[in-house]
Amino acid sequence: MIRFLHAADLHLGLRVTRFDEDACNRVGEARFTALQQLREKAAQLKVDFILVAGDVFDDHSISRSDASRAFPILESSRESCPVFIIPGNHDPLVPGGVWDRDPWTREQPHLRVNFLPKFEPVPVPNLPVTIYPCPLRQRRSMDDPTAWIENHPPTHDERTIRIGLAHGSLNIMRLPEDDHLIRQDAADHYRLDYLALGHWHKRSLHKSSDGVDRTAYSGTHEPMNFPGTNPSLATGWLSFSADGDAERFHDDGHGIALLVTIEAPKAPPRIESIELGRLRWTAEQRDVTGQPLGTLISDYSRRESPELTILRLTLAGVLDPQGHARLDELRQIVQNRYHPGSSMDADGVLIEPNAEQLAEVVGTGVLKRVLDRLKEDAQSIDATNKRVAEHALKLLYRIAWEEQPA
Amino acid sequence: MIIEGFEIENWTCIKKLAVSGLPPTGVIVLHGPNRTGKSSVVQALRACLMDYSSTSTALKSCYPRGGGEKPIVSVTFSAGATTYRVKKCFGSNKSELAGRTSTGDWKVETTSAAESHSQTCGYVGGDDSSKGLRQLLWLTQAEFRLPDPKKFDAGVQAQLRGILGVLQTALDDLFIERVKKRWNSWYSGQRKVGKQHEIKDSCTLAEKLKKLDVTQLELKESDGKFNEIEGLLRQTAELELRKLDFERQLGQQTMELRNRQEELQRSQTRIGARRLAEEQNTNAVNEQKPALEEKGHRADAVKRLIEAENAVQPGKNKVDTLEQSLRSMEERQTKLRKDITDQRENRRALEQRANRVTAKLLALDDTEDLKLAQKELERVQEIAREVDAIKRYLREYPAPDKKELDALKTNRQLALQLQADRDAASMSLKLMPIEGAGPAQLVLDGAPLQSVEHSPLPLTYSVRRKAEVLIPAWGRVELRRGTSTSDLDQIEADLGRCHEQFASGVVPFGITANDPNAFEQLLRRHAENGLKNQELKRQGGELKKLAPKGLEPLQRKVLELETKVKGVAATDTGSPELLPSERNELKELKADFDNQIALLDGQITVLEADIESAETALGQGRTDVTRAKEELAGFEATVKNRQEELGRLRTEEQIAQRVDDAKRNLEATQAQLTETELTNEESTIDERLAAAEEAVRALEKQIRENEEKYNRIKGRLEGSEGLHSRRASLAARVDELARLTERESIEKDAVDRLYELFEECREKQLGTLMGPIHERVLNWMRVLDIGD
Repeated sequence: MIRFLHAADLHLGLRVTRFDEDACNRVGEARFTALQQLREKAAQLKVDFILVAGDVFDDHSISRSDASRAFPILESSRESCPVFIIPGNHDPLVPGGVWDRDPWTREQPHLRVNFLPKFEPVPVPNLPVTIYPCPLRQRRSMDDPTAWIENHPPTHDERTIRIGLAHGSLNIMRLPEDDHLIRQDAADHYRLDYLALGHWHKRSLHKSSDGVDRTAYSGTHEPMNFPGTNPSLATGWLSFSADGDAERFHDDGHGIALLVTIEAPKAPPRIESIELGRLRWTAEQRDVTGQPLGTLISDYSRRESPELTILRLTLAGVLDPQGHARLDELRQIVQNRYHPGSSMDADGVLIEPNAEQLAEVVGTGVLKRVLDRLKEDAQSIDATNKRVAEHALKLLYRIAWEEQPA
Repeated sequence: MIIEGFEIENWTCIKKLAVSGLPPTGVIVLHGPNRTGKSSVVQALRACLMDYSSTSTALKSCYPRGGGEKPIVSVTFSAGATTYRVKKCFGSNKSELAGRTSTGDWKVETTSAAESHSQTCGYVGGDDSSKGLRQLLWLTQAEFRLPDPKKFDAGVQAQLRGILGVLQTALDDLFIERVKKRWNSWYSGQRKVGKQHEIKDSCTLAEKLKKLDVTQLELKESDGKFNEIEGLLRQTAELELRKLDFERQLGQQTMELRNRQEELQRSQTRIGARRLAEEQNTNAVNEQKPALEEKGHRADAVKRLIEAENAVQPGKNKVDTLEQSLRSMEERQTKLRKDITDQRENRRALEQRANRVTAKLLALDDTEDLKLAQKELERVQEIAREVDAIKRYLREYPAPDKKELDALKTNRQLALQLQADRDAASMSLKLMPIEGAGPAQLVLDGAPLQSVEHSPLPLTYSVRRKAEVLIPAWGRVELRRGTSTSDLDQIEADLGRCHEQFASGVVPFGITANDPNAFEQLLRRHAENGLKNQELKRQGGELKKLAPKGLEPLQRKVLELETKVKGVAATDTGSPELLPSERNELKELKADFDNQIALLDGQITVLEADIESAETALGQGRTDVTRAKEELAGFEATVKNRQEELGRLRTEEQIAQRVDDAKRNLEATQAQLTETELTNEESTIDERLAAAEEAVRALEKQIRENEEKYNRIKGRLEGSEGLHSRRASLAARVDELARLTERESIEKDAVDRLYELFEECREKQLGTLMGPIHERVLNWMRVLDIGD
């Protein structure tokens, strides 16, 4: 029986842009912390080895320090299990790339980190396991990176567990042709006991002809997206695939690795999800209409571990001026208690005083007329005019409210 | 206080206005076009009720222009339960405050200006209409703004809102102040309707936009580098594929090469035999070739010997001919040299003779020159002598100059005048001897006795003092002046001085004053000396012209010529030839000699040219002879060489034998070649092997080049380290700045819209309120006959 951890898409040196610099740095840093967790989890679970199915780094041109830091974490201590790594489409094997630099090229006893740059079977020392690595050499390619395994069919008396390690898209749906498409029956075709894949950022298992899940995407070890594909949730990160921000590159907001146990060759692998990751990413939308803002404020101030949560809160609905004036309270909570990068968007919240408030807030003078005009503008079909009018309405209410006599 | 009515006279533009029966409640609005007197009415009421007593001088600006009228304002108002009427004649102390009695009559309370003013102020509640709540009573145009609400009584505020709230509330004020303040954080000045406002460079939005531009530019550059790197990545993929392809091809070619090498090994024996046969055949061909060449060489050598021998005899003939020609040229040269020597001798003799003639001609010329010089010298000497003589004469016979002469002349004229005067002052004695009478004797003024002979004419004498006539036979007659003689004495004294002056004037010229012709002599001498001086000047001029440097140069020239003439005569004494003495003959002789010499010169020149050309021809002849001899020697040497060359070659028989041997050998090797003929594969194995080797080498080269390109890209990719994070950081900044600028832009547009709408709504509000009022006011104005 063997047990190993399957991880992928570490994207160390991650490029996100829709946050301030501090938040970007912290998000990047969290990926190293999660990598450390992966190593610790491996030790804790006493697995035989770790497979990393590509995209260890976010790009070739990451900083030297990022490239250097990953190595000692993966190498870990002498007692640790070996790690097998292949280059993915973000860090393909090219001259002068990150794999060509120190410390990855340094002459040293690589006891644990095994970088697999060649299309050749790699036996795992002291285990009846052969790994079939499929390193990528290009960002995009129409070639199936696993095709070479065809030339290495199992011998009739083979007693080793055959594990494929690849990075690409399983050809099970409509996908760009140059997204390193892997035949959907790869595990069957190459008679692999398990095909460890990387490239898609969320956990995904695929059955072979015997009805057993033998092909799996582990998902990323640390989240890097808000769940969902709404453009307002974008972080600035894009894959190199032709369909850039496709759903398959979105994680579930938390980090994960797969713990795989295989009893013997051809035996069905047992696949379990292992929670990893330091940060939780969540994007929430709330309608504030008719509900007291205090409840909302209370809700967000009592959440667990807000400091490890990147929250993107979007509010909509209608508030009276009094309630609207409290939005800043909620905004302060989101900005100060939650992880840097968290934000609250209340642009969609409209202010509408009730009849009583209306006379009190705007009076019966010029402002009243202004208010009426703005309300007309807010119904405009011109998006810009509408937006300006809505903002002006909010401003009008806010100023008028603030200027009320004590 | 409630105003019930008023009368205004002579207040700025208002001639007279009386309003009465104003309602006790509601709003009184004065409404009308500009400059119709609305503000003046209010101003007059404020002045009368609160601000000024009638004696105040501060209101002069409100007096009507032109004319001397002064304003009079009367206001009827109620305060408390009483109605008052105050009337102020401004610019005077005329004032009156009256209260209405219950019967409706007016009761004057005071006519004092000060008291009227102070009591009125007391009734209306203040003495300054612009302070505190009172200002609300005096709203003029543009004064519709309410005071700060905090300083405002809530009851009053509500009441006022009830009346004026339709205009602009305190909240409106605060609101628009906030809006303006915010608006001014982006724009300068005030918002103007219809004007496109530009945001300030210093505002935060402008700064953010600038930063955004800069960061976007940096990001673009960074993206450019990133795309370049991506391009390199694609290249490396291609290179990778190419490398694999090359390696595959190399494998195939290496295999091919190995096959060729094995094939070569298999065919080695047959190829060896074939190569031996080819080698032998090549050797046979190589051997036959020199044999045939030797045969050819021998034939060529024989031919060349015959040609050399044929060339020797003409060479000899040529040498003989040339030597003969040279001899005749030498003889001619000798003759020419002799001729030229003779001619030069003749020329020398002729030249000597001509020189003698020339010398003689020159001697003749010198002799003539000598004569001329002598004559000139003599002439000069003669002139010099004449000059000396004139000078001597002038020294011996000096003459007065013109001035002196004039003085003397004046003296003589004066003397004559004095003599005449003396004669006039004298007595006149006239004697008329009778015919036949003897001489009488006469003594005049003590002078010696003189005899008076008979004269047909009476003799007149001048007697100064005394005259005695001795008349023979008669006695003596004495005539004596009896009166004063002072005039006569003066005349005589003057005359005496005059004579003395004359005497002293003529003495220097060697003339005696007593000489009665003294003055004439002087005149004569003056004239002569003038002529002499003229002659002296002429002669002196000629002398200077002939001998500017004196006689000595002339004398020296004469001496030189004499020496020269004597010298020529002496040199020609030894000549045997007698020369003619006449100049013309000598000239003819000279010309004859010159002609002969010229003739000889021509002949000599011709001879010299002949000699020179003969010399050249002689040199050429000698060269030709030498060359012909050398040529002949060359021909002879060639013959000798050819003979030796021929001697070194094999004999004809030997050569024929060698050629035959080579031919037989070649035939034998060709037969061997036929026997060892190779198959097509065997014959091309070398080429195919070389081609395979070449292909392997080419592929290896391509692999190396590919590797080099690969390495170059590697270097460039390595240089991109850190680009990713830089790019991410820039993109993050761009995103953030874009968000912030967009948010602030919306805020700005919203504030601008609020400002715009506020101004618009306020105007509209005023219009709505003032419309009906305007109509009513216009009616009033028509009734009151105010404005147009």
